Amino acid sequence: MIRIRTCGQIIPCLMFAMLFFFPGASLALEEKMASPSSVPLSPPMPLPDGEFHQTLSFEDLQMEKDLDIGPNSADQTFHIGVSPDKLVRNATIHLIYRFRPGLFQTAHHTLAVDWNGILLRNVSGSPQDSGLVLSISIGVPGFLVNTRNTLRLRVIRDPKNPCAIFGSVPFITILRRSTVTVHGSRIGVPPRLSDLPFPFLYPDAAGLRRVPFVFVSTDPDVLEAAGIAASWLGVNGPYLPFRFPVSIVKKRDFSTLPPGHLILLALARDIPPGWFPAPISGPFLGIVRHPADPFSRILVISGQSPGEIRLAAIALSENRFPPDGGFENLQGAYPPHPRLPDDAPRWVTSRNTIPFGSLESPDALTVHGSGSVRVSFSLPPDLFTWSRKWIHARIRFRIRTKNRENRSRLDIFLNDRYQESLPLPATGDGSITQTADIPLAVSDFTPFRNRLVFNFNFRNSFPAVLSCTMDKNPRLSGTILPDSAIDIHAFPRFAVLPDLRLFPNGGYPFTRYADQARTGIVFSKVPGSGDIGIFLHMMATFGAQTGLPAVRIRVSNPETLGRVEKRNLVIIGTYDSNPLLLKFTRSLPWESTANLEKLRREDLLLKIFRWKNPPPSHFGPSDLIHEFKKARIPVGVLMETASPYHPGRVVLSVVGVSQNGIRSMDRVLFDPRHFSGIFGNVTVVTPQGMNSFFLPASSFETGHLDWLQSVRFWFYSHPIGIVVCVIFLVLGTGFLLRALLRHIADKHSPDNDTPENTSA
Amino acid sequence: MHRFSRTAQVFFLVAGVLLLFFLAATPSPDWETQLWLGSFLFAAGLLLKSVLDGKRWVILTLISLSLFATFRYAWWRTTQTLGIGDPNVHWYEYPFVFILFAAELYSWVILVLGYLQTAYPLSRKADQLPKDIASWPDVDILIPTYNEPLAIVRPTILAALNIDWPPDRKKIFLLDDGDRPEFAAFAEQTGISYIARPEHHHAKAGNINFALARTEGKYVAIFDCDHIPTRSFLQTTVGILEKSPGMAFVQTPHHFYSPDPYEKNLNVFKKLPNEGELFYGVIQDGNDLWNATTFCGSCTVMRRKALTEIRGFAVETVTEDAHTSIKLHRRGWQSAYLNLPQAAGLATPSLSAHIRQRIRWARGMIQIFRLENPLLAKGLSLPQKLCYLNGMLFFLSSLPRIIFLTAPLAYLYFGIRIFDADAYSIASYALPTIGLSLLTNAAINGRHRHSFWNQVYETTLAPYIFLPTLLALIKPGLGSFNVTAKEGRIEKEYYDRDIAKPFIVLWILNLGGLFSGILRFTGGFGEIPTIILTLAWTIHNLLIIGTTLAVGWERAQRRFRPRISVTFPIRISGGGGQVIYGETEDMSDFGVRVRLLKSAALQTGEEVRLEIPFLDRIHEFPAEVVGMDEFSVRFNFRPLTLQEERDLVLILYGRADAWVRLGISEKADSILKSLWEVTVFAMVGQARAIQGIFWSSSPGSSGNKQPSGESA
Repeated sequence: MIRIRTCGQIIPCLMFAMLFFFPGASLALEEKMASPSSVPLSPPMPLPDGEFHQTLSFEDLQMEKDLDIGPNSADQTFHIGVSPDKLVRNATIHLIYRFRPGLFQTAHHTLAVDWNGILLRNVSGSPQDSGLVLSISIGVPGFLVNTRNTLRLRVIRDPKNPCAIFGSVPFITILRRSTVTVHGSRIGVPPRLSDLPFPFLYPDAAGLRRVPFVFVSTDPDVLEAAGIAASWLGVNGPYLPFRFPVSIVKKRDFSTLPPGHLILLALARDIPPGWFPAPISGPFLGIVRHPADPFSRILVISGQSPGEIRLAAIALSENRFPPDGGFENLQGAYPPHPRLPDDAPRWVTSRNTIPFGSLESPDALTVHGSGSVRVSFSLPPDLFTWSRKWIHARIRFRIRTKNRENRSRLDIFLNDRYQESLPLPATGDGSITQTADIPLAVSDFTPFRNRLVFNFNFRNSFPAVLSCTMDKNPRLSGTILPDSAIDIHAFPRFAVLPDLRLFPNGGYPFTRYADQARTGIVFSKVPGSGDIGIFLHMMATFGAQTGLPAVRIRVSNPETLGRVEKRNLVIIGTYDSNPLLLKFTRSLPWESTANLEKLRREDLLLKIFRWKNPPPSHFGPSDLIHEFKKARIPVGVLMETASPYHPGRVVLSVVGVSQNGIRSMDRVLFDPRHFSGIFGNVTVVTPQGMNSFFLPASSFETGHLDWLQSVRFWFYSHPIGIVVCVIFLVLGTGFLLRALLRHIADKHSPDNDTPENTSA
Repeated sequence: MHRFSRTAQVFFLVAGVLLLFFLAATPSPDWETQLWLGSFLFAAGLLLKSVLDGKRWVILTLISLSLFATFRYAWWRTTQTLGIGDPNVHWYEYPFVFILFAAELYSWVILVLGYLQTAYPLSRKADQLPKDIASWPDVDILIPTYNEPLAIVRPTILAALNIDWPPDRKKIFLLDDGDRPEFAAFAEQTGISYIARPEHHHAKAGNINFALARTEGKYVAIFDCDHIPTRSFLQTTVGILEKSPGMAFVQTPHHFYSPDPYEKNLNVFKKLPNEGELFYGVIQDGNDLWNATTFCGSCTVMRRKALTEIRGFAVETVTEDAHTSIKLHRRGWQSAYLNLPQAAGLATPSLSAHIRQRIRWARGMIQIFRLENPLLAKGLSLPQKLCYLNGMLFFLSSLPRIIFLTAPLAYLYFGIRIFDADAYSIASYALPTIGLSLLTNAAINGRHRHSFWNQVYETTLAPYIFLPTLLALIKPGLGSFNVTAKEGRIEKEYYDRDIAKPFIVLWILNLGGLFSGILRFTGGFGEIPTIILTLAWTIHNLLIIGTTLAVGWERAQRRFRPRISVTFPIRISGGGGQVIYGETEDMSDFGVRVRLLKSAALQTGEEVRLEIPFLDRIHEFPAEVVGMDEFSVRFNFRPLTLQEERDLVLILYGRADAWVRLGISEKADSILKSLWEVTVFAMVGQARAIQGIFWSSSPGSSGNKQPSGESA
């Protein structure tokens, strides 16, 4: 551990020294080949003890699609962390790309590949390479690989013709199956509770975080303890791609423990003697060496009873560890005080503004030279934006440009969608502070996590043919001032539930009480490993969203439903294992043809009479029927309904066709890239992706609207109400007007017998 | 109790209207729901109109429904489609967006004010005069003339003489601003007074004011020199004035026994309501409810005291009539409209004359708008202000009309957006709104104005009244009174290229837009729904412009006076004691066509005496046969004596029921049928335009084709 940290400090010096004396060293492993389809990775060979070999695709590094890069593209940066319990000996960047010069393009730009700021390689192509899928392997010496690394792809313009006409089109496409491979040795880290969550979680490490959980018993208290532990991991590693493989072992039989760092939840009596020097009494936390793998560690959460295991998990979630030592018998571990609604630490609690100063550090709000400021923020999931087009942001920014920088602009993006562009004036020698009111399109927001990007593009005043590049002079700077804020004061907190869209985006309504005091999980009597795995992933996600471990989560099964029935329920399982799922997903068409016909009729009637808003086109019951009729088999279904047990609560049914189906759901449900596919009240998960639908079902409202807005929203939600009211009102108005106008007419000439219709 | 119930009615009405506005401002979740909502309401309105058409409460219900739809559309349009703050809207698109919005704003205001005006036509009845004829008041009948030929004025004077009113209480004055000796001689011959003034300031208004100072009757009846009154004119109108001392004037409709340019050139005389029918059939009647009847300069009886109080006719503007009525209303005088045609005149003979007349009206009304803005004028009630405002705003329709006719071209030619909304939303909000307003107007106007024709009338005037109204807005003092041409003959039909020039330009522009739209559609240049919507709009515009183009085809009008369908029993005494019986089919000042009850031996050129029984005696006229077929004989009158001429005028124009229902369409409005009619006329019109542009000879090159003759 110490060695790694030291390495981290001395590596830059070493790096520069090496480059000075051996300038070709970093390129020693370069290799270029035409490789239309294959990824040149051989299957992993069995590794000797203490070795590790990890391959990360660019997709794992959050590159969601193939990337077109041109001279005007911003630099693409990937963060590649390596856990400190690994010592990297070498790494290889395997870049797969397609060269695509434009038809009229005369410039020959190159793509530079930097590792931690060091240029590794320039990638360029010739016209005859056009369209071919090429690949290149770029070696990275181990001494350049730190625990936190940055891989950057940037364009170097053709020095002879930097501003060619048609030269700004993308000239290269990086495929997302490009990879980074690291290879090295593992280090057996000392078992210290104070280092937690390391080595079980190192947030900066790249790629999927696998944290195996091992159970000896699936007692509800133990499962709750696991949920608390998982949410604690989520709090510490927000929005990381987790996977929680679950193993249920027989008592005292730890010979089949999965490899790697893992978390074991077991009663004290089931812990093999000798694992810890002292006997376990009361709630217990400890770290022990993996019996089958000297470089892996086991976090033991234990106690004399399941309740004590739960208390131990709570203590873990509160980070109450001794300063040294690998184990601790805990005393007095009690849940913290209950939380209030909507008070999650990571939620915006202000009802007026979201100041940027509370979201990012001042350093992160400044760029030197052309560059981007990113501000991530979470909106309250129940922020009611109905009938609004814009959420306004008051942006204050300070810029320092030069006299000739009068073509500079500040481009603003929300969730990668363009919003506004502001001209930046020349400031001379000083700086200028400006304020702008920026309308952000409500349709571009997601219900919870959002990201604003401010691109400061400094350009000089020369014509584009002479100067087409951004000015990266570090003397130029742009700062988004911390008192900039997003104004949400006009938006009430209100939501109509069930609404699956809010489940991945903020975990609403389960996260309304951040400690999960209103959430109950209902497993089958004997939960499968897939059931528990998805539950743990859910808890980790909730923890990431709220910033608080789920210390009040409750778990039950259909026989002990009374324990949790007043809560928002998540029912997990398969139809075979969990009978409650049949009850709550009765309206789904896969159970019987009668359901199918009933849904079809309801849909048709709803479309004709619209006693409330019918499902949007392509997302209604008929479409769900169509989806179920398709040949492909769903792996599972997510369905949210109003709870029959308690008003104002929802029941989320997570139905898998099998335990494998549930594991498949686990892989996609909590992936932020798929969040936009979850909405309505039914989501069908298939191997190809997710499709969501709206079924006619009862709903309820949370939050509060003023009476005027409340009435408007009711009419909005019930179009037939508008029609009926309007017809009655116009009829009434017609009769009243006739009476009043007749009265006026009578004043003119009382003797007149005014005919009903003069036009006939 | 009664008062309480009235208060409760008002309370519930206000509450209901507020709730309607509230519902109108509630958005729809998507365009499909909005289309469903609009279609549902349209269907409800259609059902109501179809089943219970004609009931006043149904019309008022339809008005409420249309106002709801319009306000809903307007709210959505204002709050959602202007692109304010939308970074996707380019700076150069805003002028287009806002110009179209302003035009729509104008049309909403006009729609609402129109509903106010026509919500409840008063349908006033004539008040009876005292049974004691000796107590009937003195009436001066004023007939102003300037440059019209005597042939136009003679029937009017003779009809005035025929008016049933005690002779000692009726004085007729011929106000000749042309100082013509033959007019003075005719006045002397007929025993009426002739007044000619030494100076001719302020045109018609000045002429009448000069006469007012020299007459003294309690009431003053005013007729344009071509407006021939029926004999019952005074008996039907003066009773209203006698009954109400606060009543300043009684206006009766202006009816025309000759076809107007639209009726003549499109050959729809008596098949479609004429252009003025809406005003005299519905609007004036509706104005009457609000005590806002507009004085129209003729066919009116006025109280001298009221005129004296405002120092005679207004002379500041070129529409002295409307201006005079505003002045009277401002001083608290009442007005009445009697929707009973008691006089008839000649319509403008050609499109060019029609346009010249409307230019004067438009200029005059805008002058009033500037000089005596009804919204600011003290003394007017709110409904009066709004009725006058609508009358004036109507003449500002030229710019909005041109905008509507060209707005889609911005997108079709240049891809410039004129709405910040998708085509589906626009269609789902706009179509039900337009449909309901068409339905409601069809219910209100019935036979007085068929759907889509107001667009044709407005389009005809739009290019011509734009500049005069603009100038009048900027400098109301500009311009002078011009006399409307009322009579003329067109020997040979021709296409009036000069008058049609602006319509041809609009037509070509829209044809280009259509072509461009088709290119966009086939080439995928733009969003297909938007292209389809703008193409549909352009096709609609082409229909309206095409019909307008058709009006430019001036049909021949060879008769000096139009024949009037009239049926009288007639006895024809021929040579040799032959007596033939028949029925008149039509008559004019010059002749009569008779359907014989049985065949008779008549020869062309044979002189006969025609005997027509009317009222209490038989009127005899010398005539000669000019043509015949098996059962129908055509006679021309031989030169008539003054008495015979007076009798002919009585029979032809002076009957009390002579003009009842004239101008009203035989068929009620049907929106789809009207659209079909306009489509057919548009097709014909475009063909005529092509023919007229390339092949029709100009009127100047083929002799006397220009409209000739004028009357005030």
